[in-house]
Parts: sequence; C-alpha cells; structure tokens
Amino acid sequence: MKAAVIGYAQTKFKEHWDKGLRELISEAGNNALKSSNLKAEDIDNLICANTLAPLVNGQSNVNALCFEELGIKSSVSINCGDVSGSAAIRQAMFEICSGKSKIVMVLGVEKMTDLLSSQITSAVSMLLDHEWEVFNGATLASMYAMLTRIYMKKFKVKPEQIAKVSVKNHKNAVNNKFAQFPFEINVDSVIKGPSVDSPLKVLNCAAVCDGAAAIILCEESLAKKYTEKPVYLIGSGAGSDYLALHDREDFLEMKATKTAAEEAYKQAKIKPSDVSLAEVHDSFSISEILAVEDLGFAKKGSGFKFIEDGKTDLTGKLPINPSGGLKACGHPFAATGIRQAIEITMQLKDEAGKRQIKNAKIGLTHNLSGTGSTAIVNIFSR
Amino acid sequence: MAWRRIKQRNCLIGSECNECKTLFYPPKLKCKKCSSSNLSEFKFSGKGSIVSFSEIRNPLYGFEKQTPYTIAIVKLEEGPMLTTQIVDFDKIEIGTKVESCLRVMHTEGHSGMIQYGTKFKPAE
Ligand SMILES: [Zn+2]
Repeated sequence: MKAAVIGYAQTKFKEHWDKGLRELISEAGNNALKSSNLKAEDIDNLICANTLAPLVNGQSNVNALCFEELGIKSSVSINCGDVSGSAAIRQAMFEICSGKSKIVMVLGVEKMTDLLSSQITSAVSMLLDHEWEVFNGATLASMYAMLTRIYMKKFKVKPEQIAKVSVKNHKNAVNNKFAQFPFEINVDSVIKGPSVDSPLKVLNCAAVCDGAAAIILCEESLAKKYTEKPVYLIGSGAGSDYLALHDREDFLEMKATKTAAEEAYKQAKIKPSDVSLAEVHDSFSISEILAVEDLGFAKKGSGFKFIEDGKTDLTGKLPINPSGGLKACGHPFAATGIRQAIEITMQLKDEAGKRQIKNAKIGLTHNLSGTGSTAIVNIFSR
Repeated sequence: MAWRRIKQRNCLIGSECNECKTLFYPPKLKCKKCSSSNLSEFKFSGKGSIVSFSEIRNPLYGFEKQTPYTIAIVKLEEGPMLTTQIVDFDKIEIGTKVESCLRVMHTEGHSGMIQYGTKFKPAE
C-alpha cells in the first residue's frame, strides 16, 4: 500500500509581524482542505510539526491550536528539530499504510522572529549538543562554518564556488511567490557581502522566518476521488548520527543522510539516477553540497563542481531546489520539510508554473536536523 | 545544571573502555566501538591540534560581551575530538598545536552566575 498526496497549501515564508501561530495554522490548514475539497470531518488525524514554539512563543501542545483553527477531531505533535516536517510526513505514511487512518493532514508551523538576534542564535543552536558544543559557545552557524572550512581545504574549493549554491537557489525563487527572498543575487554580492561566523558570509546561510505549510495524504485507492493527478509517496528513509560534530566518524560525509537515502531508495525501488528533481537541505551552502554527494548524485568531493557546472540548474540534468531551497524560501524549521514536499508535488503535477521542470517523474526531498544528527529522505512519483 | 559536568569539563576527564581500551572525550556511558558499558574515567593531557575553527560574530545569548570569539574542533593527542574556544592567539590555522587552559566561559546566561570551562590556546 502507498500513501498519496491529494492537497497542499502554504503561507508565504517571511517575517509575519502581524500573525501568530494561530493565523499561520489557519491559513495553511484551511487552504489545504480547500485544495482537495475536503472538510475537517473527512480527516482522520492531524500530525503537527513544530520545534521552537515552547521556547520562542511559550507554547507547547501546538496540535491543540490546530484543533481550534481547523476542527480536525484528533491530532498529535512531533518534534525532532528542523527535520520535523519530513518526519511528520513519514509518520503519516506509517499511519495510512498500517490501515489505521485513511486521510491524514500533516502541518508544519514555526513562528521564529519574535526574538532578539542573540536569542534567535541561542534558539536555533538548541539543535546542537547543549552540554558539549553550546556550553562552550558554539552556534549552529559556527558548526557549519567549520564544516565549510574543512571541505574547502580538503577539496581545494574557492569561496566563489561555494557562492554558486546561493546564486542558483535565489534565481529559482524569482518565480516562487511564497519565497522569503524572491530575487537574484550574484557571486560578487555573496563574497563582498557581510560576514557572519567565518568563513561564512550572510548569503551562504538560510534565514529564520515565520510560516506554515500543510499537505493532505490518503490511502492510494481513494486518491483519484480527490484529485485528478495524485502524487504518490513511494519511499521514505530516516537516519541518525551523533548530535555533536566532534563525535562523528567523518565530517564530510553525513552518515544520517546516507542511511536515510539507502532506505528510501530501497523502498521506492529506484537508483539515484532515476531521480528527476530534488529539494535538499541547504540551510548553509555546504549542506547542499554534502547532500548532493551523500544522496549519490555526485562523487565525494565533486558536489561543488556538479552545482558549479549547472547540472543542478532548472534546465540541468538534475534540478536541485527548484523552489529556491531553504536559502531563498526561508527556513521556518518544522514547516520546511512540508514546503519541500509541496514543491515536489507541484512539479510532479505540472503545477509549478514558470519554474516547471519538463517530464518530472520522480522527486526527492532531503531534510536534516541540526548539523545532520537526523536526516529524512522522502521520494514521490506521479 | 552546569555543575554536573564540572570535573569532566574543567579537568578534561573522559572515559576509557575497559574491554577494547578506546578513549572517549566527552565521556561516554557506553563504548561507541564495542558497545561495552564497562568504562573508567580517563584524564586527558590537554594537548592537541586544531581540526577546524570559526570566528563567531553572531553570538549566543550570554556571550555578547566577549564577541567576536573563536570556536574550534580540537583533536586531542590521545585521539578524541572536542568543541572548544581558542584564546590568546595572533594567528591560527588548521593543524595549529594547542593546549588546554581554564577560563571564564560566560558571566550571564540563564542563571546569571559565572561559569568556568576549558578553553585552548596555542601550545608553548
Ligand atoms: Zn570498547
């Protein structure tokens, strides 16, 4: 049995100073119901993904807010960092394939911008090992900065080559009305732009923002009742690794990604070369480069070249982050994995407008928590 | 709760697996290599070299006054790696030899108390 995506919706990702968790949930959730002509009473269960509300908004039990705004009779919350959205989709697959539920809504929401700069840095650094990384002053960006430095030294990569990741993703976002930064940038603007934790520049990093995204999944046999062109979730894999970077076997190979990808490819019965497009976790440029390698699209140490040569452009052999990725769409943690699934769904249904990829048959989402302590890979087909 | 790890942090006490003799820092409850739970305390020398580093300009809450500061992954000469701050240096690079020293970690934060911890500086 397979699960099928029959509806989707998202809010714009940006700083929504005038909206709270309730408004974001209401907009994405109700529009997802509308998109599939479903009513709340048709949904058996709702899985809510959220990471930072207990700290940033003083709000736990976010699934209860979903009940208030959407009226779906039962719900649970899921939190495993910024991979939570993809984890919720995976749980929906289990629920549907076990026969327990027929129709499930998955909703990710995050309201991150109500804090001072150092408070946001502390909040996002909760994804790291608190006792052995953060206590000593480490931030999420500084850990990715150290990975970037190791990669650049080992494979002799220039900052200009790393910058290509952000340049491509911004270009793709131009036609995405939900993206936080729908405008083009160039290599110079990355290199000469403001510095953050060295050697990173501001434009090497995705920004925090507010937003919600929701999809509705159902049992395969019901899908055509709700949509002409269902998209099927044909594989899902999860992988774990040590929370702290210093405990990992190899800094430049994300074991969690490899474990997740292997499981997902096996279930979907496909090879990396069968993938038509992918949405990968580019919270920092280096994480897209490592993902391209660890997902099996390019050899270790050649991911940056694969991107630089245009192979991952919209018109390339394997478009990556056609939506604009985390970099240009913004990264409201738990909403990101669901936003990635929406992009793949739109592409496979030929609903992506000006950024439509021709003949897209199989799409993959890759989502991480922290510096890669958890990875989830979901694979969809038309 | 920072007091719970004072000894391990400030005296660099990690663990040694009594079965396969693998060393760990930070300390572990279970051996990563052979899965044994039979581990003893092991004191590290505090000498090592820089694996990677970053100068932090967007600090954590409570670290604003000492910004910019430098974080690094250091490989101890006994093998394990840890995440630490590097202090008292003019220039560092990947491979620079360093040694541990005890310093104030931060003076604000959730409890408002002074926290001490181990940092590293270029070796004499
Ligand atoms: Zn052992």
